[in-house]
Amino acid sequence: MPDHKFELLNAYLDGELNPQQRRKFEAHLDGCPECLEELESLESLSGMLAEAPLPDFSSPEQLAANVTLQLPRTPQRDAASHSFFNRSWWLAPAALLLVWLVLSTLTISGNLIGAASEFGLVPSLSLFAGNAANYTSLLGRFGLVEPDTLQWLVPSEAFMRQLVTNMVWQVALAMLYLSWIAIWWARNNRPELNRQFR
Amino acid sequence: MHTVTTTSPADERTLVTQAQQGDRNAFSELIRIHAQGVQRVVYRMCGDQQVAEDAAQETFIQAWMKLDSYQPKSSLRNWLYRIAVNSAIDMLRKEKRILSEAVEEMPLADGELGPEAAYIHEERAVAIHNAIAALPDASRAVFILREYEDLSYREISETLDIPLGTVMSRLSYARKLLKDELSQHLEVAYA
Repeated sequence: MPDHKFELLNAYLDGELNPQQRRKFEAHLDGCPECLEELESLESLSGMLAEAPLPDFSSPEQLAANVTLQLPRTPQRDAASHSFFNRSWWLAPAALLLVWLVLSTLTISGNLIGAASEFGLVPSLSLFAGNAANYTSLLGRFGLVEPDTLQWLVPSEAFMRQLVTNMVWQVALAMLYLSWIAIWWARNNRPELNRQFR
Repeated sequence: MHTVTTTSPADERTLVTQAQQGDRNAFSELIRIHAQGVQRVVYRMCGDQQVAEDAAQETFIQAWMKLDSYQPKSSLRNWLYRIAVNSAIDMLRKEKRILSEAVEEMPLADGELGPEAAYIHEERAVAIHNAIAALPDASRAVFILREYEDLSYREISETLDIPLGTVMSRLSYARKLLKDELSQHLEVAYA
């Protein structure tokens, strides 16, 4: 007695088997009355289901008229906001660049003034040098650090503070810029996400 | 019987592009093209004409609102069918599943049949209606797209966003349930 292949019956009935599978299955049907009976029963079912009547729906013209009356203005409004979005889209990286330029200018100016102050070219400015190395100065005041060590520790702390500050804002700007690129990509490649941004 | 509107794929793409830009006339034309298919799907899903009419309207309203997410590389008909299936299921939930209560509103049998044949025909139609209504939503959607809309397994898989294997198992399950439910009528009709 052959193994039944009931799992292939639906695919065969629906014409979903490739020619080779079809031939193989038909050869199986020749020697398997159970599968043949099951197939005939599925064919009968399909024939019977085809009899299921449909009502008289409203005409396509009537449906179109009814729907058109109810349509919200979404796509047009979206199109307007979309074009505004497109027009102003470039502002994001431009603003980031501007912020980067301003902060860089301020940092370089501060460094230059600080250096000039160190060499006595300009009077000492508390804004740039006043509390640059509070912690190491404090350690020196309590005698916890030798004066020789203090000589290089104080400028090191000032340098590290500037370095960390610079890194933080530069990384923050870089992250914002990368986010902008990611959103830009999603807008152009993933329409379903694009709708979420609007 | 309504006339079936035929439009070439290129024309349809043009209409979709125009509709995506907010052209209501173009969208209206798309509704005319796909109205009958959507009405059939929602009716088979809901089993009630009035609910189906509402679900068909809701389908096209949803389609208008989501039109910018439609990608022309996929079939518009199948995209609409997906929305139609979901609209029908939502409508059934809102209407507390009137599906099985809509039997008395079913279309009448052909007037040319004699009284006895008409009675048997109607009785069978009611049985089919009830058997389809009793299917789980997920299986019913797969079954309707295959049996009544003649979509291939791959098209059903893409339309409902389910794996091909799931299409096959749901279809097989639906047919098994229907065969069991309608066995008595099958024996009479095809004896």
